[in-house]
Amino acid sequence: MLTRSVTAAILLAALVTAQRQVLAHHSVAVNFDQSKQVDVTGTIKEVVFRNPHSQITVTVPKPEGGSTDWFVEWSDKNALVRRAVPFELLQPGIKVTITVNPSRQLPNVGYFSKALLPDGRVLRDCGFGAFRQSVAKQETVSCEPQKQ
Amino acid sequence: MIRLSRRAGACAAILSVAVLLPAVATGQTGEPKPDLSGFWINQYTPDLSRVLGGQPPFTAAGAERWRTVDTAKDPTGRCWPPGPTRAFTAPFPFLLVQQPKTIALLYEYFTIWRVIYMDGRPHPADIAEYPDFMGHSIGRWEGAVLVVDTVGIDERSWLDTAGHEHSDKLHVVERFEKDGGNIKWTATFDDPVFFTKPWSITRTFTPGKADDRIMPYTCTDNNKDVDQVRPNQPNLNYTFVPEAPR
Repeated sequence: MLTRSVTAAILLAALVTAQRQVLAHHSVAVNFDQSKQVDVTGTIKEVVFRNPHSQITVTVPKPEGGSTDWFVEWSDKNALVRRAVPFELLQPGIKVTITVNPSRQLPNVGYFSKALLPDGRVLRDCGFGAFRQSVAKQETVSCEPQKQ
Repeated sequence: MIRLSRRAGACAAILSVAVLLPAVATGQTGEPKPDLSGFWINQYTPDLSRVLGGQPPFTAAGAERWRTVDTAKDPTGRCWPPGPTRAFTAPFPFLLVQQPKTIALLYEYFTIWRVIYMDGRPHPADIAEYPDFMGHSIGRWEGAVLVVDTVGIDERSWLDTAGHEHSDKLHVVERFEKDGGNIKWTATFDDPVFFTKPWSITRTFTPGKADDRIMPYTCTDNNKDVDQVRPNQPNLNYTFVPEAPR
């Protein structure tokens, strides 16, 4: 597992003109390297929670000045609602570190793994397995962020 | 008023009950059928070969399509419907509404539906001229098992996210049976253009929360940049080994 801070030297010229690019549809494993993790630290610029995909844009300051945007893909909104993931905690303007599986093809694009919130709690999707278990046990589905 | 003999009266009573019975769904054995109605959760299965334990038994033509498939061309990426079986392996729930003559499947994925005609009708003779992404389905009961026969599936649909494709000759048979509180679903794929023989997978649908509902899903709501999707052919090194002739 490789973790590197994005604020260290990413100087690809493509970043300056990078357009948001949606990858081949729906397959996370095909499009994102799930063996790698990258920490994206910056300020949330925009959030879009919708179907078929959600996106979070994070503005990351560059060491030499200026900034660059990372585009974080996430689940469809219905799954997040059903699994009681409190995604509304991710608001434009807050400082976060979002850990992503990086895109196999594109710079500055990753798939959401977890988010470190300003208050130190970690937000993640508790997953389909946990959801199914709650339903089977007829428990209230809960996925509150936890302090690490 | 006509006075019936006691025997005739008994026969009349039995006949009148028999006339009422067809209102309850009955199969060959005549007992009531299970009610599969409910809100069901799929087992997300993006790659059917993982369930099958290997690639399906391709023909040479089918193997070449698998080898060269470009996942950027996934029809659902362009908001085309998922097809009858992919809707059951997508990570979204569905409602099954069972009535004696029709069974409606209402999928959250794409807010799309299928109808299974249970009134004994055949497939339309001209179905090949009017294929439907969701196919044409007719069903019957075999004991307590619902057996569904589907043809006329538009060949542009994919069987899964991994990119297993099919031809317009695809013939799908599905079996639904209650398994404890779940539904066991077995799908058999028969397509002589793509596969040398039929092959099957089995999945389990589990009941959802009592207060859950089908939520909106509008594919075009946030499907930005679809024209910028890049080609992606992950199987170019796939080596086809034809089955030895028997």
